[in-house]
Amino acid sequence: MKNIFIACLVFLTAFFLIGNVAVNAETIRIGAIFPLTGGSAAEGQDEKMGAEVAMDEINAAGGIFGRRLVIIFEDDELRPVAGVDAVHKLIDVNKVPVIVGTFSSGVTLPVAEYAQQQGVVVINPASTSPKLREVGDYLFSVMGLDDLMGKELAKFAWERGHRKAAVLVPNNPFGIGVLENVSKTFKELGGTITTSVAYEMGKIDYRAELGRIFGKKPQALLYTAYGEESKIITKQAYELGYKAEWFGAYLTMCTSVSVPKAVEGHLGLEPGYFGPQAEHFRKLFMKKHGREPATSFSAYAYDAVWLAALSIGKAGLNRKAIKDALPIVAKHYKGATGDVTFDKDGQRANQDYSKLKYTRGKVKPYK
Amino acid sequence: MAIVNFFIHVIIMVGIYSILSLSLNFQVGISGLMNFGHVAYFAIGAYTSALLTMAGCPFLLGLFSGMALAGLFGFIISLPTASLKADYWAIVTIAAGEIIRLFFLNEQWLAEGPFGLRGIPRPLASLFPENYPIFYLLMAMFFMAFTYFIMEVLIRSPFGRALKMIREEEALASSMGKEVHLFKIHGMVIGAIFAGLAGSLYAHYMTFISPDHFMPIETFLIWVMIVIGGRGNNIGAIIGALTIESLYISTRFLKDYVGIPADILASLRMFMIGFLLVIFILYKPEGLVSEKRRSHKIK
Amino acid sequence: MILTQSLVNGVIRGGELALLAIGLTMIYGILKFANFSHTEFATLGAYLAFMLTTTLRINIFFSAPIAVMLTGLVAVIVDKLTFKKLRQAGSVSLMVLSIGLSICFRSSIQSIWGAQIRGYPIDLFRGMEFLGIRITPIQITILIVALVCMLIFHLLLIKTRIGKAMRATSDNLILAQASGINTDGVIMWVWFIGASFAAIGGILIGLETQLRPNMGFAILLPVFATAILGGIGSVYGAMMGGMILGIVENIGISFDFGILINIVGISRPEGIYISPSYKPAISFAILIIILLVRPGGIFGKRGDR
Repeated sequence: MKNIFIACLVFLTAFFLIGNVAVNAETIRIGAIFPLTGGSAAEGQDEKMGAEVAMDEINAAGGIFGRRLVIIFEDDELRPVAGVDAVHKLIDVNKVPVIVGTFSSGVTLPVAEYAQQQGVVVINPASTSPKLREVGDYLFSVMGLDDLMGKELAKFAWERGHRKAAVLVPNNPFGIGVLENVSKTFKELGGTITTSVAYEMGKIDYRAELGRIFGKKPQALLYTAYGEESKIITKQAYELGYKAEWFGAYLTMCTSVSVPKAVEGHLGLEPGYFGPQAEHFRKLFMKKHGREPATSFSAYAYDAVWLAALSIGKAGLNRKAIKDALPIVAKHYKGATGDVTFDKDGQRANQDYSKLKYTRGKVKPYK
Repeated sequence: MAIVNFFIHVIIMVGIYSILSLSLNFQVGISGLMNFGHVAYFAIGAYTSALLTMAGCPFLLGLFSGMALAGLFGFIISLPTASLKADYWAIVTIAAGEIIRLFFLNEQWLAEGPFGLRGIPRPLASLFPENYPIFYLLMAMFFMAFTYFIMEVLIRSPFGRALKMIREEEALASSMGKEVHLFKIHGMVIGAIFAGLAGSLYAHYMTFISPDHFMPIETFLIWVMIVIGGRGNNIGAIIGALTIESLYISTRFLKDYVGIPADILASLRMFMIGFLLVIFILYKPEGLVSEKRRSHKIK
Repeated sequence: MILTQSLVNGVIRGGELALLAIGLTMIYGILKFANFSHTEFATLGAYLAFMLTTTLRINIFFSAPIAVMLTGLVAVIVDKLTFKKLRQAGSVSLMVLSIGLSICFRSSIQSIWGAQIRGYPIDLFRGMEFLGIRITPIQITILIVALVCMLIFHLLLIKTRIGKAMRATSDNLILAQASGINTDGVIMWVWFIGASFAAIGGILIGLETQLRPNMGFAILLPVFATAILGGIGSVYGAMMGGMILGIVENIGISFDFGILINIVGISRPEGIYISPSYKPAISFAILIIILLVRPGGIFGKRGDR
């Protein structure tokens, strides 16, 4: 019995693999790895939706060389091992020339390392760990790495007259990166950081963390939080009656599912929120998915897919040629997240940030 | 052909998981120790080996240190708890495993916390500039065979027989004068040492590790491997690892054929794992490869 | 004062933990195995109430009890289909079975309702302030509901026949059977009540925070710690254990250990705190200490291993 069982499994696997090798000449396929399940599923699915908007738009315009663009989506489950399985499948079996992904730096790093070895371009729309800079010339990031966001947020709070601030971020490379930059800049300006807390993701109760922060009575809270946790954090802060001026990095993500009353009046920054391209993207997103994007990660994924398509359009399917074409293409591309020119390491060179304020259920420009 | 790369990757992962499966099997299947924190030894082996080799130590030193340190932690954890009931042990080991992971996550000075360690050196990379994965595959297979061999020897030794007796009839064993606690500690330590070996192999293959590689779910996956493969049985442990890995990989291809969205597929995959566990425990608890009950021939 | 607020937060958390731990400790005491899928009943109850409230648009006051009943029913069915078959097997097999079931529950809930956060359609209230602490109506509800449930259960155990049967079965299954008690029926009721309480707890947690597919799994170890701390099989122990654990967890993070050093003359203005990231570690540490020092828990028999 066991022999039959094993034979079935082996046969099944072989069947899937062999079937996949046949390349469909009518389409051009690229790969995308996002956390579609697991702790960051909301953000991962938002990325996927943004990518789909780009895919539809490209195909509506005739595709690439008249061939339809198809994205093969893979789930990394927010687990590095799953991400590595996915990148092996995409590169070894599906033979894609470009991959967009992922989300968490912990997954993007090993994925990009393998792609670098194999000479396949990876365009990263969301990870921010400075370690990405060391991977190699095949990894490009649409998301700004050095987290200029942290610096700008500190400056924003300072301009509003605050001198004592607390910091709250998620306990991962992204959050710690923001924390370090925000604290450094705020202190350089002359301010004091009363408390810094890096919260555990995936919990449903953050009152202890909030108590720690507001116990020292800061004037401002500089924070960033993924939508799910942000909802709980802001709700509990509201219930507990804690008062301070809140400044959110990536404000749309922080407020995406929060209760409007709880985040009324929150200020914050968003990369390249305004501008004709950003509005255009949001309109398309609304048309395809029936709602506004939940976070700005969808816009980054959109830009990443467009850059991939434009590079292939310019260079063909040769992977090295794509790698060489990408920076050139990026210089002229005006994206939903702004100007995506790359620096010499292939990481995003500039990012302008829009100051926003959340009022009556929406983010609006801050005046 | 690039497809070969894919198979090489899968087989390396099967090799690493097999070592984890064999080592957990030694604790659970042979010694009857309900270890639900196995991933912690995996993590300690990985981090130790990574940190040492990144500081310049040779690979084998990193490897053995990882094994030794993992074994040490196995000792520390089992020493005070050796007399607890099986299910309490399960809970304690999960808790201990999580504390260790949280420690790695929060103490940035130790191993860069959530950022993880990047650039872990690959052993003998300079000797094999091309086809390095094949070398790694051979190395993984070597260590898997090595682990299997050691496990087989241990099981057949008087030590192994004593462990089995303790597993089956603890009261009888202690009435025969066997120091039950000591044996359990030994069982735990040996299992931990080899989990550390797997950890080191993992770290040098991935070249990057971070605390989210070592979540509790990984321990559960290995449990499913030994339950399905067959507890108390080394071949079973390897079969279990092979089966679960194949399932994981082939379901990834399923969505290319069937129109199931990737996110639902991932939940279904987990469901299938849980379902297999339930079905096997209910209807085929001995697993795919049952433990051979050796009868002593009387001549 | 932050410490008093932590105390209040702790008591509320204690109520939640107690509600979930009651069922766990009963099952553990009577059927003698650690049910790792127990907290999934909380998740199930919460999501069923969510579905009834949002999809069928039933008011939360009605959908909650319905969801609780349904969950109790599911538990009874699950027992009949799975656990019952392994009554004679060791506690280990049952434990492993429960782990498989918990994975099944969690992933089904995730496939149906998705991985993203869900919430009940209720309004947000600023907590009412008195004596320097803030507490919202929902939190007060949690405390009241927890107390009422425990009171009802206490009366059930003491005053009713089924309650007496439960106590007898919990003390000694064989003897209870021998005296003619329908232990199968008792077990069925224990599953129903235990799962219902867990469902209540889940709905309350969902009301107070929110719903995600792994909400039960995330709280599993603290609930185990509660049950073990209070003594396996003791319902009152579960209540006490919940309170203690909830309070210690919250105060542990808010307490400035620098005060202790100040006594010795050293001063640290920024204070010495346990990082909130280690909050789960507090319940783990307590769990380990209890198991090493007094595995029977508060109300258990000393030396009960």
